[in-house]
Amino acid sequence: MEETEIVAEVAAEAQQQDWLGATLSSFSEGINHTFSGPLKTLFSPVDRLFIGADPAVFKFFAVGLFVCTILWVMLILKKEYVNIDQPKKGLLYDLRLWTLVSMSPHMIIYWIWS
Amino acid sequence: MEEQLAQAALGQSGDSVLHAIDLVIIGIYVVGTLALGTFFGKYVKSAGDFFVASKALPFWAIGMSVVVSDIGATDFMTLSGAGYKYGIAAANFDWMGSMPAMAFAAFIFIPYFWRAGVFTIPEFLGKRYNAGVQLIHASIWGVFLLVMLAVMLWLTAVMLDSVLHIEGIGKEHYVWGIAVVAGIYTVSGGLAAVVMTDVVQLVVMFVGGAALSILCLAEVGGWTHMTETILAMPGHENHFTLLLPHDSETPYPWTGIVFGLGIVMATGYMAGNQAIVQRTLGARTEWDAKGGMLLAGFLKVFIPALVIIPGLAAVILIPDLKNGDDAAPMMIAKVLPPGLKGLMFAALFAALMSSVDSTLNSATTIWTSDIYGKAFYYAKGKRPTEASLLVLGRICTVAFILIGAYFSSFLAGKESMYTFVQTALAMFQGPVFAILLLGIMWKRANQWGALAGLLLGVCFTTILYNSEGVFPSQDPFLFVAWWSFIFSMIVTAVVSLLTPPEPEEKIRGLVFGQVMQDGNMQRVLQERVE
Repeated sequence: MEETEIVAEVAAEAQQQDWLGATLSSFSEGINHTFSGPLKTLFSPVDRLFIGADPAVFKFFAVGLFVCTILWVMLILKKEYVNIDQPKKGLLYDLRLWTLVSMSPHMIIYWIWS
Repeated sequence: MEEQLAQAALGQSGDSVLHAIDLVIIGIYVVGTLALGTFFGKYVKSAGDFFVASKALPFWAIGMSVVVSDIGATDFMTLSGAGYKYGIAAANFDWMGSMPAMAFAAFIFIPYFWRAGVFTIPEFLGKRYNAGVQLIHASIWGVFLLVMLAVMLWLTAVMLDSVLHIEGIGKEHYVWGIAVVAGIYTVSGGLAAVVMTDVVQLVVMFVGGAALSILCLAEVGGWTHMTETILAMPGHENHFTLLLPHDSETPYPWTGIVFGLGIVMATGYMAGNQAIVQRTLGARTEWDAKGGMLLAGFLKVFIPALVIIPGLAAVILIPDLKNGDDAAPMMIAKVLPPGLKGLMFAALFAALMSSVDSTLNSATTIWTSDIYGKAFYYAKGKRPTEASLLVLGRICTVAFILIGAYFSSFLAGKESMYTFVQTALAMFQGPVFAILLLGIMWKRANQWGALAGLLLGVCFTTILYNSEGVFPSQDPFLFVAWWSFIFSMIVTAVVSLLTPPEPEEKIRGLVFGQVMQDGNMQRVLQERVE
């Protein structure tokens, strides 16, 4: 038997064994063929907007997400809603303070390293 | 020399890298975990005790358990490997992937699950929308958790076999050994046993991981020297930059990290993953549920320090590694003395056991509560009794650990099956988060909108996943998550507006705005729990 035939036979056997992989692969190729062109056209304006953005923009969005979340919990949500079932009164049991303490290290990390 | 080190670290030389003292430490850890877990069995008298720990969990146990359930031993290897290859950008999944999301989960989603008195998220979706949405969500998670259980058992066995090298004991033996240990205390003590063993496992993980990181830093001359050395190496200029440009070919472009991970994937995971949420459903009060999530978010800050520093140190000490995932085991072999190796191994084992027990408990809850419970209701017109649910919960736990153990070696050779299930779950994440968010935030969202948003959202995700070159990143799953979420939100909103609204009675107490504005609603919610 020719070497190429043996290789083809082994490949066919392997493919038969992994029928799920082969089916998924052909399904994936069909979708790619049909949709990738229109989707590239749809998303390319978004890419153009963000490619080349200054690192200060990255930092603004990342740190801004933390700041907005902290402000939302501390200023917008009602204190009674945040602290319902609070075991004791006092600052130590105030979940608004917990939010500030638990989010600050994350925020500082993104401020320094982005 | 490096080749010998790699072989020794990965156990390929045929010799165990552990000494007698290491084996004693591991033995104490395993026996202690088993004893602690089975101790909680005496408190389990009802389905509520088994599935949600009698709603008695304090915030500190919830927080520690959430963190440890989220980390597997493979994370030690893969995150360390990603740190070796890409630098600290690999930490985004623990930093941006935790804290804003955990605050959203704590103050938007968890209170609703908790007040609604439900066992599972599909059950909540069933109450808010309809049985179809509940069953689709429950089925996907039920199958995913079972496959994950089998995979985790196999990965644990591979790691044990490669390190211990005990003659005559193969990977299958380790699979059954782990299945017996994790199965016994999960069957006996339910969620309480899982959470309390998680607490111990977190301490072991932090001590072992910290020891490795500190010794790695000492080996490379400290943090400052390490950063200066790595940054001076060609091709490592971005190793200490967290957010990379939008067109970066790494898996960490800043747009994907902030929008895809920070807003959609992480929040969807923290609010929609049964294994995570189940701990908060067992909280003794709503305050403990929220506080537990915030504590978990705080603890997650430290995880990259434990898992990525060994990878960064390896950049200097072992610069030409072919596979970055070998960095952690090689650093363990290189820097840890006998005794600490045992502790570190116990830490890896702890990470694996916590993932196995959490997955087992969550899979049992979903199959018992959502799938069997719903089928029973349709067949008999009433809910199953507490006693029958408890018995079934225990039977399911035994059955699932046996199925997981039996199929673990089968799945090891069928990578496409594992990838398929994992991809299928990832495809649901954006759409499920969209209907969950709209369901809680917008009272006009209805069952038809949710069903359309879920199904069309999954179709859209499938198309995005399989269309090449649409996004700049080589691995665009973060972009896919973001856009599928946006798409599902739009579909759910449009279809909801085109179809009749839900009756007021059905959605009473399940929508955020009502609770914020209506004082009487608090009493209604309390009645639901009682």
